[in-house]
Amino acid sequence: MEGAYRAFGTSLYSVVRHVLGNDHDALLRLWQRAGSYRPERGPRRFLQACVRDEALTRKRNAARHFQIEERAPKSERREYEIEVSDHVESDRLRRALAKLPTEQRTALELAYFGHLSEAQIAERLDIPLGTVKSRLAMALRKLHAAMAANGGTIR
Amino acid sequence: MDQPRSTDHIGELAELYALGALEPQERADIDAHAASCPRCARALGEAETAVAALDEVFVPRVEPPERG
Repeated sequence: MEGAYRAFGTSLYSVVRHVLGNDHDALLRLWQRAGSYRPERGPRRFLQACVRDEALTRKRNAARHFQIEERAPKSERREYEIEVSDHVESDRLRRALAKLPTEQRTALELAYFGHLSEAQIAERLDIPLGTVKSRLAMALRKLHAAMAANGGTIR
Repeated sequence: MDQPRSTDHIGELAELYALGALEPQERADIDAHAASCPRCARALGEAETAVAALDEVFVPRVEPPERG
């Protein structure tokens, strides 16, 4: 784990900062979840998912999300467009996003950029929870397929 | 499938897990299941890879502070 922290520290820290700003001690709870790791997931992805969860839980518990909901997703997305490092990968992902059906893209934007939970998305869009689940699953599977089909640099 | 027991496969909850869109109890159920199910652990890995691809495009890189 020490090696993983050294290797992936910047990615993990960046995700926490993305959600929480400076309130980043959520990172500490990461180590409590190491028992559920399996090698099929890959250490980096596992750690990144754990960190995102902890950060999101804190954010929701703080009940600050109402303000943030209103400015996400559009304002945040615009800001991030200047941060791209790999244009080929980035263009591929953007194309895949653009090709998603509107209802799937909207659900994904509310989850990813808006940091909303499934229940919050269902309420916001006034659709059943099961519909939220299937839209998010379809959207993310299409992104994964698009990235995996073109070159395979994704890990 | 909304409330997976430890013997159920997680299906489309893998994607919600990776996005952080689940409630804490659902997440804990999935952790418990995936710890002993290679198939679902692989599904989680794929979903987490897709979210990580979004991170690489949309999340600004910030260097962590030195550890004390």
